[in-house]
Amino acid sequence: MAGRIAATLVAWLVSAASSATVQTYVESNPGPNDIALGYPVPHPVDSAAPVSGFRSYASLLARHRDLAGHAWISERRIGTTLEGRPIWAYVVGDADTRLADGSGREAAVLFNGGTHAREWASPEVATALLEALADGAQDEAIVEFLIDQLTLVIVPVLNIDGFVHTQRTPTQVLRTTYRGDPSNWPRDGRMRRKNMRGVDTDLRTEADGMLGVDVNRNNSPFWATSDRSSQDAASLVHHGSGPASEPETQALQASIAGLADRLRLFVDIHSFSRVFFAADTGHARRDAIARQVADVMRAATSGYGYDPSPAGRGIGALDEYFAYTYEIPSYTLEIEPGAAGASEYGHNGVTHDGFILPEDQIARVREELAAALLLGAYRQAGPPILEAVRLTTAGGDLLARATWLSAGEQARQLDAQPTTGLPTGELQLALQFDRPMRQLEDGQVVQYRGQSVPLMPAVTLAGRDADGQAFEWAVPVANMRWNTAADANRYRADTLVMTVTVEAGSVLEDAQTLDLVVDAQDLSGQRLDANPATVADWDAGGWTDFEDASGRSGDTGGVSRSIRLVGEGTPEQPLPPPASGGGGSGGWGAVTGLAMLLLAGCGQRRRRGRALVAVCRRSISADPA
Amino acid sequence: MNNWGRGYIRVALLGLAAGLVSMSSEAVTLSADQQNGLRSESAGLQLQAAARAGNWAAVHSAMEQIEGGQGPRDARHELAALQVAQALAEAPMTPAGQQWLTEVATWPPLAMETLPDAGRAVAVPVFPVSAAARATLRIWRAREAVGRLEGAMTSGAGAVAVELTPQLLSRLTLAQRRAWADVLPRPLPANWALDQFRVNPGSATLEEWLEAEWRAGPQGSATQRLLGFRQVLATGDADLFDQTADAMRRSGHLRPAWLQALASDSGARSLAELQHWAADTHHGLDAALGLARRADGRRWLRTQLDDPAVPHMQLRRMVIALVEHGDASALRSWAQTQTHAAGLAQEVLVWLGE
Repeated sequence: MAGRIAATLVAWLVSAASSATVQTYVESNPGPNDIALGYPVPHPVDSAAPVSGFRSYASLLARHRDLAGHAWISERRIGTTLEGRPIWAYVVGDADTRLADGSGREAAVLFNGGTHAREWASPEVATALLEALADGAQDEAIVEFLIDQLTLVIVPVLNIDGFVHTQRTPTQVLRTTYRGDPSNWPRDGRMRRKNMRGVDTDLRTEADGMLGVDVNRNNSPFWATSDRSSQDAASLVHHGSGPASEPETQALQASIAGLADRLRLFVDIHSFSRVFFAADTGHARRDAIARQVADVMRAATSGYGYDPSPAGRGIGALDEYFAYTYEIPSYTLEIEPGAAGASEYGHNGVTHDGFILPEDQIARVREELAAALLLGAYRQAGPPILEAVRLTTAGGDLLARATWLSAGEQARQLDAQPTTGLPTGELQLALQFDRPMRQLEDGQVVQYRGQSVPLMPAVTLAGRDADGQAFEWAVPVANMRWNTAADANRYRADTLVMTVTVEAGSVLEDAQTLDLVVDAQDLSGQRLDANPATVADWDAGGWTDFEDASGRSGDTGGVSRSIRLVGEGTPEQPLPPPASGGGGSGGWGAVTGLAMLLLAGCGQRRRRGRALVAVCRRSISADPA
Repeated sequence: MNNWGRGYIRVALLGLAAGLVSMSSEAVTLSADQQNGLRSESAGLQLQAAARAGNWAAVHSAMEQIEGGQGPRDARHELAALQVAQALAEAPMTPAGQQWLTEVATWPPLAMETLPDAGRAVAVPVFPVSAAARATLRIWRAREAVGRLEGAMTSGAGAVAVELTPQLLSRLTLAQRRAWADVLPRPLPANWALDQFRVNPGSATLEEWLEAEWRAGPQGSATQRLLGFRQVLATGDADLFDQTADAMRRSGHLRPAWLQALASDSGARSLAELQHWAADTHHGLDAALGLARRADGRRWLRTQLDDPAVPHMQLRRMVIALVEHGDASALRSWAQTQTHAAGLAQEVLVWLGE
């Protein structure tokens, strides 16, 4: 009762100090109380299937429930709005919470849509994520990998009451001026931003039109610490009565119940300004990783920016809560258009029209951002490993093999069977990674959207010849190909197949030991976990057990030299790099780079005499002490 | 110099004195009070009045006071250009005006405001003069096209190569849209084709609209498609209905809008069409939702719930649709007596809040 009296009092005070006009959005030919957008005014569409338009809440909910009929998608009620509507989350993933090989914990990621009511593109993008995860579950590519190796939580519409309110009056908007704010910006109706605390559903009752709490200013640790939120209940950025005072805020926090210790990524989807906002927390590793993950996602978009806020300051936003609470990459994604608003698409550029994405843009935006966000999830699933190797003759006879197998909690052991020597002739070497490493489209290896990862890894055979001298032989890129759908192992393009020609009298034939040295990057450009024996995980703002070539754990991985193809013993390791701060790819990358330079010159010399085999008898700096 | 021009200079001088005007062309941030002050001091209202009164000399004179090729000097200059660009929309089209608008259309934004509720206080243009100039140029092109179409009709010259824009469409009267169908260049964009169907409903115009929508593919406006299908149903023409239903069997992009339109039609043919699509893998949910929006559809859906031959996915969609459209009591009793779909019955009870 006291709350109701207070809300009534606030509404009366606002009413007494404001003047309001209901205006109408039109495409063109505006009358005195119209706002001409220059493009058709979107109305909510009663279509469950994605269309070139914005779906009504009822249609979106029906769509979500339909998708939750898949075995790998479940629905979870995470809260109730002020108007009594259930708030739903959709949890996507296979039944277990272990990696596909059983060795480690699956990561969890959280995507949230519809925090602000008027940002209709946001629930569409969140729903597009769910649709992609439903439709692609058997794509033998990134989606199937995500379902195998990750738990994805999607909250498509958080501020349901506000969203429904904007859809009730899709062309009408309340413009008001009130004491202290002469802006006359559009507020209620189609332009409602906040939740419905203290607000009725009738746009004509102006007294309450300014009220509501901004769910994206209602969060710790920076609740009410900034002049970019306000205790004024009529402010567009009213932060509420306390941190997490609102049911929507509480629901989002509840959405990761049971998953919090595995959470590695949060994205809150908003519009507009075409940027990934993030909160630096002052944790150097987390902040650096957050930038890297943002860069990976941004590359998949049409020119989105990255704008981190300085550590120790904030506005009470949701991304700050997840960044500081869980020390994970955490973003506010602002969907296009940019600051120019809808004039970016050639329209009139009226104030706030960036919140009304033209219908003819939404299909493209959905596809683009779903692809970008899924790549972010892929990145945070953890670093790739070289999981298995098979070396066979051209006739298919097994010469050597090795597979990393689960060995209990967070550990793997190598089940390896090297050979004692290589026969001459053409051999087939297959390197299987634990994930799809490239995209295949129409049988062609292509980059994942916007990425610039070398399509072929650097694969080197390093060993000692009959005299005990170290040598290296780089497998020519021309001899490599990624597997296709027809010969897929677990995923398309998870296996690199190559031909190794062993000539009589060559170092390969004479090799006493031969180790496999692989420098590969996954779809997102993440390098290998060089030591799969310890399973990489996430803890306190960075990766654990994510080793570089020298065995040092950091955040970038490096060259893998974990498998011996020929000879007894374990692979030779490079000299440890000089001590330096932070993680990093370590010394082996530099060593390999130098070796590649030397080999390039050497190979050319040999090719003059022997056309097909680039073999070099040269000791390089990786020679162990 | 006319009164408006003198007024501009006077206001500009006042602005300089008030320190609001930057002499450089670097972006400046304006508060709401500053914006309101500039607007109240500007000649915008006089320009609007001049345009309404057809006093184009005053509008052209105002234009001549603003150098188009240099970009905005300051916020006041930018606002004045914005108001002129808007006032020119219906002014006589002159080469000077064309050049001025073309130049102004390239102006970078100067006066900015910070929106606390967009992004994290994103700076957006206050006076979007370049967008306004482009909008007026589009209107001018449309006006020029009207003239060319009129000429073609008079001379009987046949189809005219004009750009069929929304601005042109919005300028034509009903009589012109009916009379000029044959001189419009083909193929028509979807909004034009739909308009042709509206003004002259028939098999040929329907076919032309459907083909235009197919060409638009998944990018075509869902709102426009719904309006189009409602138009088809509103004719009450059985042949047009059958033509549309047949076309929907050949193309998927248009089906969601078709099913949505059928939901608000009370005819038996619409009911049968929705029932037809209820078993479809991709569009069954939309068909079920359409059925649940109408009383006869809900009755039919309820009969399906107890039919063991209905596949589980289809049954689940029917239940989702009935929950969404408030058939709570019937669903509750169905769920409480379920044996062959116990898991779904449990879901239904959760959806009903139990």
